[in-house]
Amino acid sequence: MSNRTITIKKAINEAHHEEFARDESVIIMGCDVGIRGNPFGVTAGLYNAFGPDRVRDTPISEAAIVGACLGAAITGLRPIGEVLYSDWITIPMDQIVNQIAKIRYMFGGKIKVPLVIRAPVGAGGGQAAQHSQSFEAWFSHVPGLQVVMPITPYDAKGLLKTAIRGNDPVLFFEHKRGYEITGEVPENDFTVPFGEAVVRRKGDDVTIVAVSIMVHRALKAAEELSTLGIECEVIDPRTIYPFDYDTVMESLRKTHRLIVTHEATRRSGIGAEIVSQVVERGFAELDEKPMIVAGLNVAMPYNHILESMVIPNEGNIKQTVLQMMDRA
Amino acid sequence: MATFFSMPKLGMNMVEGHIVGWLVKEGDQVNAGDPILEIETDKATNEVESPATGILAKIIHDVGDDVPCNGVLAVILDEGEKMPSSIPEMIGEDIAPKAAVTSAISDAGKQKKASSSQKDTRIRVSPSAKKMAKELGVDLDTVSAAGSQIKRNDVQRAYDAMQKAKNNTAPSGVNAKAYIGMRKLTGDAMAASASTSARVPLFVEANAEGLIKQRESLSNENEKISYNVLLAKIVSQALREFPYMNTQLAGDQIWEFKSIHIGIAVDSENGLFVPVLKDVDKKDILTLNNEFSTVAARALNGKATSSDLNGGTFTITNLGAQEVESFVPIINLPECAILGVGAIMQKAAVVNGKLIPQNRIGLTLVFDHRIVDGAPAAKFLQRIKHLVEDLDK
Amino acid sequence: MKTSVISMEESLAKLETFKKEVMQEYQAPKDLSTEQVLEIFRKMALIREFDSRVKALWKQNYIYGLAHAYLGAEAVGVGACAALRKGDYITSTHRGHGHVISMGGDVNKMMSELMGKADGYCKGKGGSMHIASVDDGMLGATGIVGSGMPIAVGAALTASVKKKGYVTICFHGDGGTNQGVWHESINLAAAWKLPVIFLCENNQWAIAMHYDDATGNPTVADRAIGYGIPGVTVDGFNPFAVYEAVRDAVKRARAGEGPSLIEARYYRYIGHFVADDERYRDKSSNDPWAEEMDPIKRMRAYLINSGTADEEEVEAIYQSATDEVEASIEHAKNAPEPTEDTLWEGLYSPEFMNNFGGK
Repeated sequence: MSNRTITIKKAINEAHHEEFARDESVIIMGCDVGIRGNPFGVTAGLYNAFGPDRVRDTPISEAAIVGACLGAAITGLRPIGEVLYSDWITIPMDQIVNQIAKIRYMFGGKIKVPLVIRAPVGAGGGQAAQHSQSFEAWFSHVPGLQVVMPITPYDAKGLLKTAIRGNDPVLFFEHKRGYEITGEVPENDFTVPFGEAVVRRKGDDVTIVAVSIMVHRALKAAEELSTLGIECEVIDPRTIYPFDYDTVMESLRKTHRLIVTHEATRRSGIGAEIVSQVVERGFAELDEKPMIVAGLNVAMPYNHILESMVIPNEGNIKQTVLQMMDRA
Repeated sequence: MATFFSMPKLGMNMVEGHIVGWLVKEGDQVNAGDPILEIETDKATNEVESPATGILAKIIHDVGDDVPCNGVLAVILDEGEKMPSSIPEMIGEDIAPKAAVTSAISDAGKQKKASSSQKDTRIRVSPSAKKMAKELGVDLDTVSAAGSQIKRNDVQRAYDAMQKAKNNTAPSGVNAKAYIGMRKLTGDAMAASASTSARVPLFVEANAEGLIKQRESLSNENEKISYNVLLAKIVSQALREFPYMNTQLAGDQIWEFKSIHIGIAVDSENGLFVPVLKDVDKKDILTLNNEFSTVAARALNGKATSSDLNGGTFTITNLGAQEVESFVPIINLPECAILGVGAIMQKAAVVNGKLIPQNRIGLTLVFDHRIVDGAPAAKFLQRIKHLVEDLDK
Repeated sequence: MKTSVISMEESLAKLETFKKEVMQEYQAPKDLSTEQVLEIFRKMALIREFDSRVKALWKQNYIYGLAHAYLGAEAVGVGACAALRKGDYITSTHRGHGHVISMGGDVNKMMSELMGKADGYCKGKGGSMHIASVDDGMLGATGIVGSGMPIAVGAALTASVKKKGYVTICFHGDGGTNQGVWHESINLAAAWKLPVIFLCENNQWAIAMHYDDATGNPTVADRAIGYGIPGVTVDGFNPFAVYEAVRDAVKRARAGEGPSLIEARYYRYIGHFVADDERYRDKSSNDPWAEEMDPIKRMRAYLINSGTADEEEVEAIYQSATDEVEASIEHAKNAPEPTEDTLWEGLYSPEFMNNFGGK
């Protein structure tokens, strides 16, 4: 069993191919997922390998796509629906929130809803206000859903497989500007369980819980801080719901300082929930008030200078750590 | 141009003002510098002048209102000028209290606090530091914060100091023992007394023949009377006659005690104890001796009660058993004086011009010159000497 | 000043137009046996009795929350589902009781669910507005207008991908036709030629708005042209008319010819939901419709006049429906409430709940 170094894009692509081969019920639909292989190339080769029945190009009809995924899921398929930019998840919101999340419950628990909606998130590159958002906070807020945000090739592949094989609906938020991130991935089949965080870097001084791309930025900040004698512990939760608080609490009992960082807007973002959960579970462990490093509360501007003010970066994280440790 | 007449900040700590009266009414012409308003702050009434010349077009806050500093009270317009479409509530920066300020809020019932960004002055200890202190047994009152709040580092520092105090490492060639417990208590008390009181020693030597006889006559085979008890009885009489020696310095007062309780220092394996004989002047020697034996025994066994060891107004300490002729003891604060008793020794004495061998005893009175002066103290000691020598008559 | 969205005159005018343009004579098609015809009547009677009692029970608070009656619409659901076979699916609207019965559902389980009891179809979790008899192929009622549309498309997608040969009827109302998802769903189904029948139960009323005021062209079937699929308007008060249209659409769908749009037009001469006092319209303007178009009345008359059954038989069938509903009320009243620990059940799969607790 050997590892190879591949990109997140390749890892997601492999997950699709392998799961399609493993189970005939797996299908995918979305704009340009078929012949074009998705504008980012994520589903390349699927159409040729598995045909138009199972790999379906759709018109621009997110409500129908997502709703059809539900109808297919409750009648025996395992569909993957792709909403190309997570910003457009607003269009099928009713299907996701009022139907997909609740249909098993409303019907007394009888049916299963084995579907995955992939909706890439992420800011940067001048994508501007309607193409830069990340709504994990919205969906974490809806009981019945699961929210997954991998940021390494290993996690992207393993988590997508778990999502596809599971019997509960999953929102899979890969980062659209993280497709070229590389990492080691085994050749054999493997899955990554939900609800298990990973400590990406050990440290005694501060716990940094980082969501999606912020993991990598936090690691960069941690490297710089290390030269100043400050050691950060960086935790990648990988799944937003279910969320692994045990790992965070174990870290907090060591460091007694908490920073949560996400690219999504600060106000009412997932950081608020994580902080409140941590405070509830371990108020007595906090030596400093918890801080959140996140996107500014503003629509994403087009201009690149303004944009870089809004998107949280390693400098923001580093600054926050220094302030917290009275070394600013 | 419209001028927004606002509540002035008349003092460093002023947060809001209470409107007592308008000196003009809406529509009146006002001139810059004229007093137009009376406000009350901190029990003083102040006149406030108009900031501009014009028409007092609109009064926003009326008599009885509490308005924060910089809150807009009225609008002054030029002749013919239109009222602006929006009138701000405050002008410039909000004067928010940066720390808790209680002055200048005239009426406790009307609470119009400006929004403030208060520092966490209530949370003086971080939750984790609090937990840590509890676990380590560190008293938070003894912890000082490096910053604005006690953190784990501060608790750690305090703990380390505690530990260090316990575990000081001695140089080689030394057997170290912890300076703790009774030794420390006694030592610290001695040092405090020596460095606080204005101690002056007075020395006399007395004919001890009578003392010896008294002891013999009162003792029997089973029970020997202690010299200390005999001396305590004599001292108690002297204290009755010189009550200014039965005193204590209590802050800015001198307390003269009505009762005479005399402590007698007792040396033991466990350290120095001073059991106290109560109401010495009122009891006979045999009773006192019994009491002394009992209490002393308790003290030596480590079973002394608080009553045994407290309440003394005078102390006697005796090193005669070790053949010490005289010494200068440390006052048992907060008492006024202490009597140090030396050994009874055969000495050459001159009596009626003749040199005779005589048993004599050295007595040293150390008194606190803050409470009493030399001559009065000397008179007291002289009386003791005479009482001792009177026994030989 | 207008206080009613419709006057008696306007209602009568619409009735006249309906009688001229839409109404069809009751005539059992040749491919239906007598048994099947009588079964159609029985199901219609069952719906009529069930939903009439639901109104009363709601007022007594045995049933609470929101409930929407299928009274007057019996012919649509029963007629349409008569053209289906086991294995076929339907998606429903908020007016789901009639659909459950049309698909052969159990009124005991349905009444229990409406009373929120543990042995109801949804274990008390769904109530009237989310009633679902999934085992009978009824994929649930929904409170969101139009939301069943793409779900039906998805069910049809499974049939297509897995080559299962079943069809799906997508019941929806005139209100749903103006939701964006209506368009998206039909368009997608048409593009992919999926085996789904879009059946619009056009009762002409979206609560207080008449369809004529809600759209430029109030003939729903006309929209089919835009999607390249067949579209037809039938008399929604006539189970046979509905049956025939659906039968033909089902045939096409099973043959892989793709979706159809059927407009079963009738008239909602009751309130929107069971406690609707219809302040927005002159209630008496419903009466002519109820008088002349009531499908139970028309069916009774047809069965007797056509010699399919005599009066006794007809009454016996109707009585059996009454009795069945009566029994279901008794049953549901005595059924247990769900226990508190069932609150969390069914939110996620059992394996998820085991792993994560799901709270």
